[in-house]
Amino acid sequence: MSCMCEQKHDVDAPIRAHVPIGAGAYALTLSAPALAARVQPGQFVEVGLNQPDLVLRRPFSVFDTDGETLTILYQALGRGTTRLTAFRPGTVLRVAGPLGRGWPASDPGARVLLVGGGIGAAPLHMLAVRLSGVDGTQVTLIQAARTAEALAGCDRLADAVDTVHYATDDGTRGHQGLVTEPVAAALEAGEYDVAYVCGPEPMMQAVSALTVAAGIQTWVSMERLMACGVGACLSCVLPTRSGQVRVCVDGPVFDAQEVDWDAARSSRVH
Amino acid sequence: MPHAPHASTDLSIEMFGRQLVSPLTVASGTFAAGREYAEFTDITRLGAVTTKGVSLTPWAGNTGKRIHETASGLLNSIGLQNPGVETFCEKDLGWLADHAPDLPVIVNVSGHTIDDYVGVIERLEREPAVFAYELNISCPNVDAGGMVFGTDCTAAAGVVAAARAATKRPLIVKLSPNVTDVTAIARAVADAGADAVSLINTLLGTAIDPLTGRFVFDRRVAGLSGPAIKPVALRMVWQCAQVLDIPIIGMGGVTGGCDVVEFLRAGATMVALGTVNFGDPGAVGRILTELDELCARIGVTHVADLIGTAA
Repeated sequence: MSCMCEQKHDVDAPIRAHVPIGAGAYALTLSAPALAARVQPGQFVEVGLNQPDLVLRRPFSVFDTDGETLTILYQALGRGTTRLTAFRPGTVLRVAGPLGRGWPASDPGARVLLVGGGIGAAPLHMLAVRLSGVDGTQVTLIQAARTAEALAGCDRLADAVDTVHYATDDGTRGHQGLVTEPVAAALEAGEYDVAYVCGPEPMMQAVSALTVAAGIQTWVSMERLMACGVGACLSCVLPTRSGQVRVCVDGPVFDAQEVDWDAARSSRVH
Repeated sequence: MPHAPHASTDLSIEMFGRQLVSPLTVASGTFAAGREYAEFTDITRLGAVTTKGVSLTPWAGNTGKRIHETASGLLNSIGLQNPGVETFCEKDLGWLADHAPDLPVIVNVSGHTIDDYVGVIERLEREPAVFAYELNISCPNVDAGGMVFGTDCTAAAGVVAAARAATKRPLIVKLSPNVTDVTAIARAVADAGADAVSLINTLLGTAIDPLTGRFVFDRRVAGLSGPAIKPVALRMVWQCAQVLDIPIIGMGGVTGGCDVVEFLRAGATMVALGTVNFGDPGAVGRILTELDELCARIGVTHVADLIGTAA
């Protein structure tokens, strides 16, 4: 991938919209033109929460942009995201970005497989939109979540692709069971040149094992606890075949074959 | 303009016979060597940049999770991951020479043994850009060396004396708060030849997952930083200032200009920004602006006039 040397910004970003999207997840839209103009699919931002007792910002992948705003999807899980749910439009948050290396582009006309798990599917959306504008590129999405309600939060993802398959834990939409089953079926039924995978780490490991075995170039977006988000603190290191790398600046997107999945287990977030 | 402009404060201070543009530096390990933050703030407004810990050979750092946010604080267990002094000279000092040639560089020196510390210094003696060394004898996140040296007066004096013999450059010793009497260690390292002390390093802490019962960190213990530790840091800086004739670099939970003034008043000559850089990549510039405004409010024209004025 070429050097991503675009300027990073740290700006005051007023909340434009903030809505629940079901299953404990939210869509947060921030006005941040300087970042929105530059963000690439798969990149992330560090969001300050204006809480003196929370010393770190929170990293979020970008779900969507209209060139002026950034939308992120998040699940209210920890102290920060739980408090974030109460923030109303107009509240100003400090936001740094765009950060990290996003999804590498595929060749024009590529047969593309997107695999998303839970809220982790969010970073695939900008990519799907980008790919839908490339003539001849065929995009298949396999999206999994616990329930149909959890899938619905990311339903715009399906609008940007050619074919979609769903899997839910409880069978409320699509295949009931693990996402690896429809992935295996898709690999059986068709041919793909590149796969982009984002979701919980065990899911990414299992899915990429299948796609790599099928000879498909596979990209995964990794998550680690992050402090600075700019490459200084070495909190978010990930073991790879070529040594320890920083998820924040060397990733978050990595070649699935580069990741040392077993060594990575002890520092998993989810 | 909502505020009437005031005569800008003279923020310069003198350290080791050199005039520095401001009393601010950064806490080792929170700022790499400056490059990552240069996109967000003017790093040349620092009086000096303090680098991440550098060891003789590459260190891999710790396995497992490396950070855990606490109430007003941050536990870390990085474990001094660094590529070793040779790569540091080439990459970090190289970048600084190209992009901030006038910025004084304090190199944080780490080791498992006395020979390690001396070896790093001997290699760095060939680098003209180095302004001073900061001996890290207080890292709680490594087994051999680290805090073992910093919590025992005899061991601390031993490593300082060996480093002293290896260089004529200013030697700063970074002290651990994980001791009963910080002034005893401070006196020991001053007597052994230290030119300054910096404090505090992180406070030893831990965290446990309440659901699984597992320790958060592979090493069980980790180092606590951030606003939660500021009162402890300020007290220790003040205590050391009572017994030392050498300058002090104060740090621990600084988040704004008010904190800088408190540390200066407690007796610090310089003040380091640490964890605040993570939550605010523009902290250096913001805090200098706050410091300038605060000095005007207090009515001092020279920031150095604040040093040791707590009464």
